[in-house]
Amino acid sequence: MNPHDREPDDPDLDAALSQLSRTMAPSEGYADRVLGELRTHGVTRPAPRPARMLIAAAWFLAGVGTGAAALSMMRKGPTDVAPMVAAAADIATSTPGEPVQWY
Amino acid sequence: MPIHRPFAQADDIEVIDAFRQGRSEAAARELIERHSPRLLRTVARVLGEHSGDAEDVLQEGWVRGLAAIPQYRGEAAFPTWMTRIALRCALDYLRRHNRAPLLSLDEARTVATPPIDRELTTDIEHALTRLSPHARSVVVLHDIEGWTHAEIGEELSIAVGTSKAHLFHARRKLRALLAHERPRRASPTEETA
Repeated sequence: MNPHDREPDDPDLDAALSQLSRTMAPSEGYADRVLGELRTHGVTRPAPRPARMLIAAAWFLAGVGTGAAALSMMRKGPTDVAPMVAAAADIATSTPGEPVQWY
Repeated sequence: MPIHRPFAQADDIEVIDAFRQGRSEAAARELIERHSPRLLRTVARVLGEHSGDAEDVLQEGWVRGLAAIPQYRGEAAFPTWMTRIALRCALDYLRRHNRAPLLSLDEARTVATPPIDRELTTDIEHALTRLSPHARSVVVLHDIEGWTHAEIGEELSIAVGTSKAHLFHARRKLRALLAHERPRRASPTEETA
């Protein structure tokens, strides 16, 4: 029989080893430090924050609004836009003091 | 401000599933908060006198472990699985730094040991640091963590017989180191007289 198969009895040593603490409190903020490292390595995804969500919602609404306005103008057609373009051109080419023609 | 822990009541499998689905920081935090105290103690013991680096080594273990969560099949309990990863990190650290050379028993006897805490457990912790990294790992995993020699052999890539031999010699060395320390503690007045 291999002598290593039979470990010598030593109740004192066994008792002492069994008394050893199995836990050790990490220092304060340890979990945050590890999370930072996980984020750096792309292991975790940062949690969505309320501010980010609000900004995203605002962009979304702005996009919807712009799209709706563009659709509305397309429906009305270019004839509705022409007077505004003409007025703008008149204003741009007029001289100070001269009355602007109203369309 | 107290940190919100939405998974505090969930078991490990539920938390791991949540992490797999969204790689959420809340799930990762729960696993870290829950298992770090025990993992840290194991890593610190394996590192021996370099236990001051245990938090950094375990941090590397968490990065490796959570990155490998997709490969976790639940065949072993999560703490056991993570212990294996943390243990590998600790042994890698010792290899990288070429640290903790094996002290022979005679060398250990001649090294002047500073008067430390007189508690027996402290003596054992101290004696453990005098073992080689592999011998220390075997003692920690077998006698403290309750692993079998087969598990240790698989993890450390050594034969079962080698694991038993490591434990045999390590325990003999521990006994000798403690026997050397105990008389010093038992008769302090004789030493100082």
